[in-house]
Amino acid sequence: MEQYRTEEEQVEALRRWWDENGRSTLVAIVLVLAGTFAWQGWQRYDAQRTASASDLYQQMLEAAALAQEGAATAAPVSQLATQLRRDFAGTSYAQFAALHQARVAVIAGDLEAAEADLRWVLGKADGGSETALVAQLRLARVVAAQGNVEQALALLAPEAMGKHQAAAAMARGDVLAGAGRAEEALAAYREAQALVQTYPAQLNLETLAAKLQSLAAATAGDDA
Amino acid sequence: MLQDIRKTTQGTAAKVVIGLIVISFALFGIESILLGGGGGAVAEVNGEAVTPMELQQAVDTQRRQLIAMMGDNLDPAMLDDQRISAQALEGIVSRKLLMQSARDMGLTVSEAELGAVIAGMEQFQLDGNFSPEMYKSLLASAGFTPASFKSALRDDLILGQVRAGLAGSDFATPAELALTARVVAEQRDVRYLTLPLAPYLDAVEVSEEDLEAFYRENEASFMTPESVVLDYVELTLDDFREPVEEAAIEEEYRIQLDSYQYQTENRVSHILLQRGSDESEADFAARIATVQDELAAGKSFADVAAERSDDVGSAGNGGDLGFSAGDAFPPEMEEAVAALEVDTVSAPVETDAGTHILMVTERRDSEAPSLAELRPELEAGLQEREARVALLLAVEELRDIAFTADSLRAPAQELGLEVLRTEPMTREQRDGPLAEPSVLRAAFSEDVLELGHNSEVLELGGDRFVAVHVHEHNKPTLEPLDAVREEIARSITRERAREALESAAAEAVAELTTGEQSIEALAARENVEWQVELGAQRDSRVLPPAVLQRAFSLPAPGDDKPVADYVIDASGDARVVQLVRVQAGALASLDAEQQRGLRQRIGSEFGALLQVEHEQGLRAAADISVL
Repeated sequence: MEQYRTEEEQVEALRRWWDENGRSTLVAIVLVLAGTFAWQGWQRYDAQRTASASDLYQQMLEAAALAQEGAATAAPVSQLATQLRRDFAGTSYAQFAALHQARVAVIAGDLEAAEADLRWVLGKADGGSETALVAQLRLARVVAAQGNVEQALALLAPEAMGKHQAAAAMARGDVLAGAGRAEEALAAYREAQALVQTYPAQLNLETLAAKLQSLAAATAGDDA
Repeated sequence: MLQDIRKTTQGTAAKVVIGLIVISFALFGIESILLGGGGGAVAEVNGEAVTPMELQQAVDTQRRQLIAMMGDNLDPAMLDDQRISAQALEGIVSRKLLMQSARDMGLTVSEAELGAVIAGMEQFQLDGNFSPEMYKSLLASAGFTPASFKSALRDDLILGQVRAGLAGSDFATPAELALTARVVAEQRDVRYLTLPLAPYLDAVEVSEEDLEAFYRENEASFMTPESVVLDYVELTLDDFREPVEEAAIEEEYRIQLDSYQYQTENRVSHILLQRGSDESEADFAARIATVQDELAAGKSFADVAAERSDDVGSAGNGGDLGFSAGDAFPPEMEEAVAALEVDTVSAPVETDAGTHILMVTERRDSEAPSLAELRPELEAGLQEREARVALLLAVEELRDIAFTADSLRAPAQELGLEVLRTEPMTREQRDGPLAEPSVLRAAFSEDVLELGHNSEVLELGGDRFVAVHVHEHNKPTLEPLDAVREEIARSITRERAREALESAAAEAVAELTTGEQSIEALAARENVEWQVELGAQRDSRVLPPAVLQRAFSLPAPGDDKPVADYVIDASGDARVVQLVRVQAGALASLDAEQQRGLRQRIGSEFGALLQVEHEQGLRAAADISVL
């Protein structure tokens, strides 16, 4: 390190350093500040946008609750959902909205519209994410309801359904039972029930139990 | 060293570093740098800490819920801290996992929404309106600050958004509806008859050889339980209660009087007059006189206060200043207040604030309770205090003597106690004076049971202390045949009757399925009633549960192939069940309400299953460490 003998020398050294590096130091500071403020601004903007999407989504949920009670039609749900998908396409709220639209469509009997909604979600959601898996499971069920059994079974293949093995098996059972393939359906239901029994959470799946009992009784009759 | 620092801080690199530090402080504020990562977490979930405070709050909440739910039936063991804390930690971990996943989805709740939800919560409302005081006091009593409550509520709402978005958007396709309706609304015509067990029980005869054979084969189940008869000495608080001296009670009474304040409280109103900066002394005196004149003329104190008082805070409500116990106002004022009768007006009183005209509107006297009133309470308290000291001294003494003595006789003599004796007690003893886990543990310990020592002095509930000594140890022995004869006879009878009943039922089923006999003919032969239920559904409440269960697990009958089976129900009787007809359910046969219910059931079963699997998946993929 250099040593300065007097204060004047020290000040002189500083001034020299400033003449050489002052401009670039200033530019660096300005750039860092601008970057920081831009980043903060963008974050604020993003937070605000998410908050607006959240508010809109809450409105849609309230409309959906009214529709479910039968106190209103599903039209406002669809309208709010469409708005969410258009104005906030990149958010999870848009995907949830599309899932609700699919539900409305299924209830109205419009399976094609439901299929389109679910495919839209599959296209938007990250592969393997919870939302994607949920959409895939429902897509398979809608496709099966349209009569495409093989396509549905392919969507529900164990390797495609990640952590939702029991739900997939239960849906496979429904698809197969609907196609009249009782033995395979029974196997799928049994698989679902066996999986659920290994889960620590208590689940009361009455319908699954009834379908299992009914199929078991029917197939036992065929054997006799 | 300081020299070194001085040197190095003059280098260019050091200046740059210092500059960066300055900038980071300027931009981020000091607290985010100094107070980052607080230590002392109890667990970590994917790197997110669970703080001891968080856990404590969850434990408190859970304990409050348990108490509220169970009331007096609550088993104190359920409030055990460790047990609750393990459950509470589980809950926190689940919630953190769900929150992390929700954050990854980029979900949020706006301040406005949060505010609206809080304002709409009934708990915080008084007469239908949001009350900030109620809000703060309720939060405080539940251990929340407004900030921590808001953050917890925000998390709740976000988790609700995920649930509503994923599980809540489930549906039932037409194919699923039809399929499920076929099963759920299926109807079965069922006939059944009951073969009672009782006659078969009566018919069984058990010979002496049978009894002996059974006794020999099942010796292990006829052992008497191991038991001990205990000698014990007992010290209780009541043994040490002595009459209390009068002087001590009086002394205690004096202490009580000193420690509590029995004082008179006055509710005071005033009219304050302050001399203005440009007001002459005469004018001011005239103003005081006016007030006094108006009051003397009978104008109400409140009106005069409203018109004339310079204390804007109290002028509006009659000059009221609230209650004072003699220490709220300046001494000059308190003196005047104490001398004033209720509802009379004082002469002007000067304080630093100005000139006051005072009125006492209410006087609350709280007199000290008399010795006679307090005596029972004081006496009991003193007595207990002294008795407890004596008890603990005696316990110490017993501890010393019992430890060295080889029976309880010596310690009992020394302390003037009686050696008592229990009935035989097993390891699982539930009743009797010493049926406490700690006593049984001690009594069956090696030291006391095998080596014959006195036990330690054990503290039981209710200020009882005991030491025990094993008087008699009854090892398990085989009970004599005569003692268990009846029990054996019952077992054999039950077993044989059941076998006979089952073979009769199986025979009846065979006759039904081959078509040899109708259920009517069978019932007539067995001399029992038979029943029929047409169109029974899976949730029928008419058929006995065992019959229903069996009827719905039988295959549908073919044309010439009657289907029947039997089942032994909970009371031991046999039900012979014939399935006559199966009618698959149809969606169209359900009314609108039922269809809606079915739709919801299918959707919510998928929804619930997805939710459980989602949480499980998060847990499986998570990095959870309990510290």
